[in-house]
Amino acid sequence: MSAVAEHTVAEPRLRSGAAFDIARFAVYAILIVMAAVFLMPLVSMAFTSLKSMDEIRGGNLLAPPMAVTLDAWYSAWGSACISVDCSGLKGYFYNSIKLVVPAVLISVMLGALNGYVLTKWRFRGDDLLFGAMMFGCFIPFQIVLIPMAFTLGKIGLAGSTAGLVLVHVVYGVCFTTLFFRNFYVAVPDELVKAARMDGAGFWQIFFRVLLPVSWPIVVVAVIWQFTGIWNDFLFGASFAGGQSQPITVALNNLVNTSTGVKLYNVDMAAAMITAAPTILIYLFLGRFFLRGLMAGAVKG
Amino acid sequence: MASLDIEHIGKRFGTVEVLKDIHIGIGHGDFLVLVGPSGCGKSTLLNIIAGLDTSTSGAIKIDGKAVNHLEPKERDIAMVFQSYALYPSMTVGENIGFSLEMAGMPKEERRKRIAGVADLLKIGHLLDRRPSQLSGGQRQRVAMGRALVREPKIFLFDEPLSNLDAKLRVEMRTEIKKLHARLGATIVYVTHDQIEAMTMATRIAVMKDGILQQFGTPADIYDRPANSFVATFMGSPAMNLLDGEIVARGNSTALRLDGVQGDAAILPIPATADPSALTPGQKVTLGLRPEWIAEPGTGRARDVQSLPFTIDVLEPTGPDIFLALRLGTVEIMGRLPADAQVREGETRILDVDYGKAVLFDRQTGTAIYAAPALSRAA
Repeated sequence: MSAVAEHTVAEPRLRSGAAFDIARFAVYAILIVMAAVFLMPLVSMAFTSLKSMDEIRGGNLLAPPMAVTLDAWYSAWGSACISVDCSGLKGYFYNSIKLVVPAVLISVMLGALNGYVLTKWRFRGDDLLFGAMMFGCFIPFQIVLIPMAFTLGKIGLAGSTAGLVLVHVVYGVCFTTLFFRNFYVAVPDELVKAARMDGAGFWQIFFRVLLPVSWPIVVVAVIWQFTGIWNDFLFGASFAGGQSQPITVALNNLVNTSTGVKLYNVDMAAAMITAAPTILIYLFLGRFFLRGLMAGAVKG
Repeated sequence: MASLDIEHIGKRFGTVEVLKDIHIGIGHGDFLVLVGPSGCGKSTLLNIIAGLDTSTSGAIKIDGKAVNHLEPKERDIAMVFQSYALYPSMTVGENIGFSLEMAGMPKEERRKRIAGVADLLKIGHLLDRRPSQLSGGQRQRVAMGRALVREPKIFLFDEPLSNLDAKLRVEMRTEIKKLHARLGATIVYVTHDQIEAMTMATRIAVMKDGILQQFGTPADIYDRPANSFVATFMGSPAMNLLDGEIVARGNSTALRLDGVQGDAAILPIPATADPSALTPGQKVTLGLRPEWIAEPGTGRARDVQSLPFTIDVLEPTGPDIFLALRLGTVEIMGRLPADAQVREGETRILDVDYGKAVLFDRQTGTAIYAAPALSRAA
């Protein structure tokens, strides 16, 4: 972002007085149009959520609200009916938090540990093990549904938040392991050797030497896991019992609860509430995301 | 301070033998340099001494006690790495104090020790910086500080100067040598730079292909190389190797050089060699160091051979001139003082200090020395 901004400011000044640059104009025109196309659904959602039902019926999808009202947001949060229970998304939002926070923390932590062991404490067959874990990245959600349901039932976690956390950790650890292994491969082994000479043990090397330099990849793993788990619908719908359902499942139920008139403004507000945390995560950590993805890429 | 014994160390990776029966012993305060071309196993040997790698056979003994089964931290050894391996997230002070912290030393005592080492290395003003804010030379000092602060029995250095520019390398070389003199510490130092080896060591171990070629003092290694590899590896420009053959002359033997015509081809057997170990017809190699060649009348050598050389190229280096010479068809490097009266293209007589010349068996490369006592008498 900042690089683009610098160019737009610096370049025209250098060429002041030069002929109008048609190519540059075309590039910006295309970029603006594309940005508008991508923003349209979000704008439409935001506008609709701020209108009253009367205005929605009378106006057009992209028209800004004439009389702004937050009623739909209050309703979606606290009083909209989800099947028979009319208390909004509030409870399910907390369900998702209670699910996502431990699932992200555990899967990122395990991934970091795996990456550490697979690169710095090499053992016989480690590449094979890593290959097998990578296999997990390519397994579609649907394939693990039945074995997972069976396992959760056997260990007594069926229908609970803890069970859902377990599912997401198991599924996510393949990805976080991949991230951290590829990051730690680029960290010199001599760092670990030096720490061993200095008397640090397995955990001290991990927490004191490696983890403090891992923040770029921690950010990547957290964003990846957070968006993945927050947005998940299939596992949530399959493994969570009624009161522990995550917000994505609740949103679906809210939109599909059809008694009487369809409240588009409430649906849109609910959808935006559901999407808000992932948008916020990107806003706050996004700048580190790209840096983290690129880290180690050049060192080969 | 401690003694270190490397006893019959062998190391295998699968079927590849990277170290073969390495046997070296050094005493208190010795500065041992392990030198050899890349891939000779010197760094592996250092890692085995440190406990970061295990040997397949043999034992490492510190002060006479085997430490094979001990973890690196239990061996009371500190190591300076080629890449310095400073912890990026810690300040210089934290880097230096990390080992003390791991050992559970109280903070106040730690601070004193860190300050003491920082003073010694003149990095006191850098203690609050992070490694990324330091220059190469400063990082090098911090890496040494991290080793010094522990006051270990033995210091290990793994090519510590190879990432520095030429000028800084010479400075740090002197500094490490001073430090060694001051602390009287036992040091094992790995390098592929023969000048570092010669200048710093009290003992040198030359290695090649996992085999110890020669172990001795720098003077031993330079003046009495055990084989033609050691002879050419140590010294720059390298020792000249001239192929020849032992021939009968009267009732004794002489050396006839290949590729040389006339009288100049026949030379006596060098005084360092054992004539009784030579038989006519034996293929040998004569080793002559470039600096043993001098203008007639300027050398101090007593045992001189005067030979006609053609001067092909002169390479002035400042203090010296390197000469690309030809004796018959054999190419030889010579080294004369900068004020030597020589011109490119001329053929002239130069003196060779023949008293130091070394004879090698051409097949095995092994030097053929007379017994030490005899060579001294000569």
